[in-house]
Order: sequence, then structure tokens, then C-alpha cells
Amino acid sequence: MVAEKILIHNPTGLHTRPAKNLVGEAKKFESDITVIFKGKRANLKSLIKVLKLGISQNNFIELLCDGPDEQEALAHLKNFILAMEG
Amino acid sequence: MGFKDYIISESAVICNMEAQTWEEAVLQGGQLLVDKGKAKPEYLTNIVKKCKENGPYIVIAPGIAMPHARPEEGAMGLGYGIVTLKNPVLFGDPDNDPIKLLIYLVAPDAKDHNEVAVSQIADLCDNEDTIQLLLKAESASEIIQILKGEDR
Repeated sequence: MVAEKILIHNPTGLHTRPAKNLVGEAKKFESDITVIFKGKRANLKSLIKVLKLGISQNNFIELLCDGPDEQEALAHLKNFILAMEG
Repeated sequence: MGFKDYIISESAVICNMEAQTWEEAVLQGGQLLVDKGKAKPEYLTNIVKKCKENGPYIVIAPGIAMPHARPEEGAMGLGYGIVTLKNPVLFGDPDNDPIKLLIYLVAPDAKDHNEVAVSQIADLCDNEDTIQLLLKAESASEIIQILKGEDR
């Protein structure tokens, strides 16, 4: 398992459209991918679970990837989050 | 006021609305927000325009869409609305089509929008039993009773 803390920098946070795109990216990987925010965990492959967390700009989240492609998944999703706009 | 309390106290519900297309559904159902002074009419046309430009970003789960735009796109107050469709419509989202339940959201503040409103709606959508009951309801008052009866 690999994990990393990431700052959400885009102005609308993990709001519907960016969150939906991120969930789509997470689904490309075989590994289990979990996001942790304020002590709550959510499956990053479920948009509803992610939206329940209410993640905004300037929040830190932790991404956990566990599975055969965990390294690639973490690197890809981190870059995707850092490149998010809107 | 929270999402469910608002829906219950304002009776912000339309049951079995008839619409031929997703645009028609979004615009017609969204009158719930406009009639109560929570959104300008352009809030609804902005949602349609953004769906056409960016894809159906408002579709959040199988059968469920959450029509909303940004605060600066015509929001006037915090408001919500629940609309069920008599006949489902297609949004062009193969993972989640057809859509039969619309949960509207308008908020004048981005932080409230994201941290409070969206997460409360997502909570409801995560309860499959309640969603199934809402989809089967045959009147607005039945929908309100279902929300009143749901454990928080």
C-alpha cells in the first residue's frame, strides 16, 4: 500500500465536475483507492461517497492506493489533482 | 436549514413530472427554485449550457442527477428541490442513464454549497432503500413522508 497527503488547490474543491473526473481516473486502476478527509474514508471510485466528504479548496486529503498498480495509481491521481482547474 | 428540512417545510417537490428530454426536465423542474426566489431563470439555462459544453456533470449516480450551477451563475438564496420523472430521460451518461430523479441545489456561497449542501444530498443518494422509495412514490406528499421517516 502507498499513501500521500495532497492539497486541494482548485477553487471549487472536489465539487461535482472535478470530482466526477477524478472518480473516472480512479476507475482506470485495479487497485483499491481510498480518500481520507477529516478522519472519514471514502472509496475514490464512487462519486457519491466522495461527495459525502465535502472537500473544499485548501483542504488536505490523503490518498491510499492498495493493489497491483498502486504506484502508478498514486502518481497518476496526484498529478491529476494538482492539474485540476475550476 | 438543511436539505431535508427545506424540502419538507417548503414542499419543494414535484412527483412524476412529464418531460420529453433532459433539457426540458432540468428547465421545467427548476421552476421550484425560481418560483421561491432562490434562483434567477438564467441559473437553469446556465446548467443546460454547461451540460452541453462539458458533458452531463450533474449526473451523480445511476438514475440520479443533481442540477446545480455556481453561486455567481444566478443563485439568489439557499434552496433545494426534488423532482421525479414520469418517464426517465437520457443525459448521455452511459454509466448512469436513464435518469428518473432530479435533486436541485442552489447556494449563494461556494463553501456552503460544497461542504454542506452537496454532502447532504450525497448522503441521501447513498441510501439505496430511500432512493428506491422515492422513485416509486406516486405523489409529492408521499415523497415528503419518506423524507420525514428517514433516519438521519
